[in-house]
Amino acid sequence: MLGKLLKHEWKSIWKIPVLLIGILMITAVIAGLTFALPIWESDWIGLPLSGLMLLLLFYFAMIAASVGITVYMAVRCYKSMFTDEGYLTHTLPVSSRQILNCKVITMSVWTLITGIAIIISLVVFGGVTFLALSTKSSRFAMDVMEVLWEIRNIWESPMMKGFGACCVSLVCLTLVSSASSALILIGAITLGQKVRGHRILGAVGAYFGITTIVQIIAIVLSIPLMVKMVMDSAYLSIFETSPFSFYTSIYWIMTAVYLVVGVGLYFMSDYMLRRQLELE
Amino acid sequence: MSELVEIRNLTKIYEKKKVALDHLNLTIGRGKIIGLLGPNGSGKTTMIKLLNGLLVASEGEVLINGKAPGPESKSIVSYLPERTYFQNSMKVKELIAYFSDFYQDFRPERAKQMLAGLNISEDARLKTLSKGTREKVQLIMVMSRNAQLYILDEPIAGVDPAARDYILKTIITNYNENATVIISTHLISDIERVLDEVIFIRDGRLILQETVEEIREKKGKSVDAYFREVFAC
Repeated sequence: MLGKLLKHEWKSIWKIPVLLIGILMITAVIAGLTFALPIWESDWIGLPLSGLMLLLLFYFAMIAASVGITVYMAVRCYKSMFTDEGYLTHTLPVSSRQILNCKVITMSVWTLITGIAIIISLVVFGGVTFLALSTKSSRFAMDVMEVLWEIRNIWESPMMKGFGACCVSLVCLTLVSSASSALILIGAITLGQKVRGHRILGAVGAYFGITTIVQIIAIVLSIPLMVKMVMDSAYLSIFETSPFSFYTSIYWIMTAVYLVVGVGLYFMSDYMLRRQLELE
Repeated sequence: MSELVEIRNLTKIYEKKKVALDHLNLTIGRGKIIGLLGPNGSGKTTMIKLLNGLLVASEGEVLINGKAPGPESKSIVSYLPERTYFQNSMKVKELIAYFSDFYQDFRPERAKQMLAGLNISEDARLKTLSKGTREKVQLIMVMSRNAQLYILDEPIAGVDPAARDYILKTIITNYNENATVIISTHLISDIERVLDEVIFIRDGRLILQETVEEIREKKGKSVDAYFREVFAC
């Protein structure tokens, strides 16, 4: 039944996120293409300004994709679980845990897809910009290759020590935080149902409350590491040695915090759906 | 065979100490059409929501086919709420696919036949249909299941007499004859002719549970007349 829930959940929500991601990719290409136009050298301020506007449009498209998809997921989750549509969701022959799992999986995957889409859009923007500038100046491509060659030298320097471990911790953080973000949203929406008459306000309040607490916990747990970084002479010469061990530690701390928060909110939401469900 | 529905000591207290159901006890057998009758605020919808697992009881228990509300009971209960509850952006054919996927007892051909009878296109999105047509689509989906228990909450409230006739005809001609149908309403005269049994509820308490025949014989009145007498203000 979880498979069927996932299938129908996916079918009901894919259009808006795909539309937002599509717009993001188009704006990435357009923003990159502006560098191929002779607008930047124009004497009339209007032309470089419009180019700047297109770059800003890409920036806002990234924010719209990230925030828009998150808000859309939250609204869909709320509507399908706690409004009139909840009468269908909660009378399906499935357990409340299967409904919860379906929401967590779908929202986590879309959070991940959104993150990947934003990275791809930056790559697209970079690629199009590179091609656009290369057509204007043959020297540009050579310059970029020289920079890349220098990066290669940095790659082999002691500064890059621990880069692999840092990447592993970052991947773990990304995966855990995707699920945790979904669970923070679901947990906040579920908690908001306890505020009779102001359920949406309750959910919004719970969301900001939970995220604030999570941030405070993450900062408090990171303080010893930051103090150590300042005190430790090895960290003082951070650009001569590797900075990655510091970031790796920070990422693992955040992964642990998100994991604990996610697991806690999962069981709380499960309990609330099983024992406290009250559709209006 | 055990009773289809057993309600024992069922109590539901909302916030601010509002008692919606007060130690309600009743059993409902199989193969009957039952009117769940009571004035507004008597606890009918609360009882129905508890039967469907949409609320959690403050006290007592509900058993359907011997099981508390859960995936098993939901697979044999076909529920029509008193509101439009499908996602408006869905097409009618997507709704059919949805019900076919989740309910093993759903008969898609029956649903398609009834939709065709009303000239409702399967390609139509729900949001493009009128409220009355959306309600008919809901009824068709619910009655196209071969369920053991149909729970219909106010199916004829707020509709014109012609639509009432259509709704009652759809219920009568489509329910599984071994199943029980619970119809909650306060429009008794319209449904009296189809009822086998009635349950009167007031202030969350059971006032009466009798067959329509018994009421007519013992009280010498129609159910509607007797209801007016019992619930006179």
